[in-house]
Amino acid sequence: MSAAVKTEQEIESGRQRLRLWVTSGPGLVWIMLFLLLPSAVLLGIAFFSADDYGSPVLPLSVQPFQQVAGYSLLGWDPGNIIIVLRSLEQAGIATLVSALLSYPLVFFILSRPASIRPLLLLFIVLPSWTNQVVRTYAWMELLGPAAPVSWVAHILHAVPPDLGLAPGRFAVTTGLAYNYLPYMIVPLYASAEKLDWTLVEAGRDLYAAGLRLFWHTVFPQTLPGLLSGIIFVAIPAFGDYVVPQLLGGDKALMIGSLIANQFTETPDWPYGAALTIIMLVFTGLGLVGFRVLTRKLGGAEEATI
Amino acid sequence: MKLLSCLAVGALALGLGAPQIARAETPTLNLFIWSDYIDPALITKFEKQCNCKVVETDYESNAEMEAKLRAGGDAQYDVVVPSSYYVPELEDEGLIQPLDHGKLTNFSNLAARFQNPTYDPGDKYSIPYQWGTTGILYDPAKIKGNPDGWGLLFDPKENPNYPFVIPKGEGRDQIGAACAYLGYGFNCAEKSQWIAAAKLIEQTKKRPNFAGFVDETPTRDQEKSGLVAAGMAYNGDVGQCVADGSCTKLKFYLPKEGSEIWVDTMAIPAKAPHPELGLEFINFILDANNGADLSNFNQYASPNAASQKQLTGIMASDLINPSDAEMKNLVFLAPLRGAKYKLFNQIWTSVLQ
Repeated sequence: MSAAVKTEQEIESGRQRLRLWVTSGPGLVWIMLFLLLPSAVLLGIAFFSADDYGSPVLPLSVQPFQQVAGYSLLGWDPGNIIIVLRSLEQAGIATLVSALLSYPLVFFILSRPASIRPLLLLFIVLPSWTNQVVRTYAWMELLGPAAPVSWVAHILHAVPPDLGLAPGRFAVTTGLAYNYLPYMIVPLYASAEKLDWTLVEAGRDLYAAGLRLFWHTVFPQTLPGLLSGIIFVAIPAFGDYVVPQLLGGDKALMIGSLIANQFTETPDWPYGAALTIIMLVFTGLGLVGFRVLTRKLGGAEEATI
Repeated sequence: MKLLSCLAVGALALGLGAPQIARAETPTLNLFIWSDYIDPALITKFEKQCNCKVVETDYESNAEMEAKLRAGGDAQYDVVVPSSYYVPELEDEGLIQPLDHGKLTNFSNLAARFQNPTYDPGDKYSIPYQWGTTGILYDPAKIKGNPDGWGLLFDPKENPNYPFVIPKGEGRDQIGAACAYLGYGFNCAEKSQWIAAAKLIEQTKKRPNFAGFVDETPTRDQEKSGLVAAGMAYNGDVGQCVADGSCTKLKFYLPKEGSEIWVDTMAIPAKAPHPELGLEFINFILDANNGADLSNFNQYASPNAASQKQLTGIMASDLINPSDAEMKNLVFLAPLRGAKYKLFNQIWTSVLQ
């Protein structure tokens, strides 16, 4: 009798296992084929030498990684470190700006009747249905020398009279924050929607107001959404090169364009592969570090993707 | 190494490649070409002639084309259209195959100037498709004083205020232009000259009105919409916008210190699936009528001597046909091979950083 029960349990767990495989199988196959396999090939290429035209050839070599560290025929050069720092700064500023813009917007949407909130959210997501390049071109025109926004900048002496706001740092920050804003708003909205307003009331009853009230009652409750948003914005902004190219005039290389160049204009596949691997490792470490941080801050399960 | 890159592409193309092999009953010519570089009517005409299907795939730069060929594309495409200075590189890498001149009955239509070129002696690997020049396009409403040299880009006094750009690309034209401005000639080849040119571009980068690295065709478009006032451009691109009336206020010139004349060529990848169709296509383009149709479509000059009589409108102008005096100042970019290529790339990368 007891043996029969055990078998039924076994059958049940077998079914569960099957269901697990059927449901997660396609996703796993997708990740294997299009993420793990190409990454493995890149990892392989990164340990080859480059011939004069940049193709990977034998013997195996660690030279690509030395190049990543900044060593080349012309001696050591801090260029790569500067590029990484510049990309980190770009990601940091874009994340900060989109977070600052998102809070008021999210609470504005929440203050509207429940029936029109989905529509307002849709308006925010809608522009991302068109191609990023197209939208970035539009910003180029909007911030160009002849555009009204640039006239204002001329009057304020922020920009010399014959130049525009684009290309420039302001334009890059604007473009990035604009592009990734929806990825910050959506998770933040999900958190804010569940906000326990009684805690805010309690804060008010204790005579807290303004920033203090926000910091002690609203901020901790929306932290899970904010952390998810930071991941969604910071990682793609770190590797973005369309916006710096079109709105920054590519005056300074970003890590994304540095890698792209190694496979096209100035070919060196092993070096490009090594750069990619290093970038993946750093992104991975960043994610793990973030996860640990999230755990420490507590109760932020949503943020652990 | 080939094995590795084949693996990479093979892995990705597992699902995509298989059906293509399966439906190979009607012969197909896989044409890999710059975007907007062939008249769709010509493709239809060729399909009728060869009783085959043409599949056109586009690219935006030589580098992009080469990367695809290296990643297994040399077994996918039947005709590619590299610029002249890329031909030796593709040859050294084993990515293109020698052409069977016995099948190219229209070869004699080519102007003598374009036969047996320095970049490909004996036309062994490549046949000229179209040619053009690289010069400076600027807005005379903003920039005064009739500039005539590379100083418009490199001398801060000639344009202290208005935004200008330099192409990004592979660096050959840019280093060449800086070399020409410094007096080394457009085809400078010494390491010290390259470094001096690189330093000049690095200084230029720091000028407040430098609006960035923008390639030739987008430069033309940004000048049309007033975003920039000066930059490098191709004469054919300018011909197109003069012909459609969208840039009549802009001025184009070939700098006096010397500039580039280039030829885009047709070549057949090393493992092309249908090389015989590829040859038929090359011969088709060499036909006098087809060569003329092509140039009248995209406003680039034709190397086909037999086509010249049929070229109309802007095609007959000075813009597309430089004078003999101008021709003396124009050079083909010398191909860079081997270690020189590597050195050049490292110098150019340091400029972009």
